[in-house]
Amino acid sequence: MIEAEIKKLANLARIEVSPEEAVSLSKDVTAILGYVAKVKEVAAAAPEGQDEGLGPVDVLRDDADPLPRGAETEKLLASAPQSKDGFVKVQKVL
Amino acid sequence: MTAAEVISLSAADLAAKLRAKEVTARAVAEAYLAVIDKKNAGLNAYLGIYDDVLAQADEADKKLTAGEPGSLLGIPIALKDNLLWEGREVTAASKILEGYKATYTATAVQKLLDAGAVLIGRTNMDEFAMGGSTENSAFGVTKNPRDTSRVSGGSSGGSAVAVAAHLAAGALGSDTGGSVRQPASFCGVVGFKPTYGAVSRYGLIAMASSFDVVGTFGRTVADAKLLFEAIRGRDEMDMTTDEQPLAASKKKVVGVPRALLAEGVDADVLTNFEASIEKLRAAGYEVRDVELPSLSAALAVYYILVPAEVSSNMARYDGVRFGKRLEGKNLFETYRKTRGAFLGEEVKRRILVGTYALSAGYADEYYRTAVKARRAISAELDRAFKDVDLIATPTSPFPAWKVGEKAGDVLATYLADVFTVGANVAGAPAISVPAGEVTRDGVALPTGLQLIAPRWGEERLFAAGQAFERMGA
Repeated sequence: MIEAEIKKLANLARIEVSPEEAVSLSKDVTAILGYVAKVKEVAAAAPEGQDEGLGPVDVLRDDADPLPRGAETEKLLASAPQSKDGFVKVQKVL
Repeated sequence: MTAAEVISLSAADLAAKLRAKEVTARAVAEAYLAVIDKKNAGLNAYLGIYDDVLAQADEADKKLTAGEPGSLLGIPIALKDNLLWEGREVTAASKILEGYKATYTATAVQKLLDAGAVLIGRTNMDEFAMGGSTENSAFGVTKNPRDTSRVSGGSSGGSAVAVAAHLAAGALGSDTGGSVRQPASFCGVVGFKPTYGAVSRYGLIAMASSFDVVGTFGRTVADAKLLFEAIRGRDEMDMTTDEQPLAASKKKVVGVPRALLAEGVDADVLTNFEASIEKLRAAGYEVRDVELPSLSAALAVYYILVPAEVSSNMARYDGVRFGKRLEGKNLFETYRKTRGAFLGEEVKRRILVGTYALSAGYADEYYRTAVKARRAISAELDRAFKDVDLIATPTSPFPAWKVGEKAGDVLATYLADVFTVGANVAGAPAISVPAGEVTRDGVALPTGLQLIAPRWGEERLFAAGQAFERMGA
C-alpha cells in the first residue's frame, strides 16, 4: 500500500499521521493485508447461514424503564474536556 | 501466619484461612501491599494502587466476623486497567484516557465486590488490549518476573505478573485473542478464557466486541475457577450473556491438531507439549489426532475482523465526550490531532487495517470473506468436538521474548497468538495451565498447555486442568 493511500485511510479514520508514520504504517499495513489474504481459501468451505454456531446475535432487551432525563448528565459531563450549560462543547460544525 | 506464608497461599486456601480466622483480611492486604511496595517498581505490573485497600480489607474483616457470605471475602484481586470501577481512574494503558475516571462499574467488578474481594489496583496492559507483550502500553512494558529483560506477554501482562510475583492472589484480565492465556503461559500461572458471553462485557473497555471476554488468572486451576464462578452469569446490560453450562464429560478424549504443530513452533516448546500429552494420558485421558485444516486460517480471520471491530469501537475516542483533546483549527482537525497525538502505533495500525477492510470496494474481499471463514472454522471445531472432549495445543509457539526483540516486525508478534485465537474466533472456552519450562540464557522460562472445550464446556477444562496439575511439574 502506498503512502498516499495510508493518508487517505488515516483521514477517513480521523487520525493525523506524520510523513514518517505514513512510511512505517504503509509497510506494516501492506504486510498485514498480505498475510490475511489466506482467509479466501477457508471461506470457500463455509456453511451457509447467518453466524451459524456462534450463538444468538442481535438479542436486544426491551426498550423500557429509561433513566429520568438528566439523571446522569452531571456525572457524564464531568468527563468531557469542555462543557457548557449541560452540553458537551465542541467547535463550530458548519 | 507470617506475611510470607500469607502471600504464598492460593486464593482458595487463603479464603479458608480467612474463614477460619487464622488471619485477618487487613493482615493479608498489608502483606500484599508490602510486596507491591518492594517489587512493583521493577516489574511495572500495576499502573495504580487503589487508595482504600486497607479500608476495603477492614470492611471484609467486619463481614468475616459477622459470618456473612462471600466466596472472595478478604481476597486481594487485581483488575486489568480496562475494567471500570466508578469514580476510579481507568486508562486502558492509553494516553488518550490518562486521568479518566470511570462513570459506572463493570458487572464483573461489581460481582467481585459483591463476593467480598479486596481490589488492589489496576494492572498494565497493551494499549486498549492490542498486543501480546505489554510493549504497546503507553506507560512502559511489564517485565517478566523470571527474567526482567523479557516481556510478560500480553495483553493482560500486568495481571499475569501480579499473580505470578505474588502481588495479588488472583486477577481479572480480558481475552480477545489470547490476552489472558498467553501472558499466563509466559509467567507460569493459570489463565482462563470463558465461553463468549459467559461473563458480562458491561464496563469492559471494548476492543473487538464479538471476541472480547473477561477472563481470570490464578496460581491454580481452582483459583481461576473460583474467580470465574464469582463473575459469570447473565446480565441484562450485556445481551450477549447467557448461561448454559455443559456437564463434565465422562469420555475424556483429547484431540491434538498435529498438522498445526508442524512448523513455527520452538523445538523445546514442542518437547514440553509432548511431555504434557503423556501426562494427560497418565491421568486417564485418551489422546487422538484431529484434523482441523481451517484452524490454520484463524489468525488471518482474526486480523481482519478484530481490526474491523476496533476501527468502529475506537471511534469514540475523539476528544469530545471524554479523554484528552488536542484542539485544532476546526472540529475535523481536533479529531485528527487528538487521535494522532494520544493513540499509540498499534492502535493506529489496527484502525487503518480495519478501516480498509470495511471500506467500499474492499469489504467483500476482506470483511465478508473473513466472516464466512469464521463460520467455517467454528463449524469445523463443532465437528471435531463430536469425537473429542477437548483440544490440546501449546499455549504459545515460543516462550517469553526479550523486550524489543520483535520491534518493527508486526507479523512476528501476531504469530504469538496462532494457537489461542481459534477459541475466540469460535467463542469457545480455553485454559492455559503451566506445563514445564525451557531454558534461555540460563533462565528457566515457563511454557503453557492450552486446552480448548466446546462452548459452555468450562467444567471439562477445569476437570482436565486439575487432573493435569495433580500429575505435578
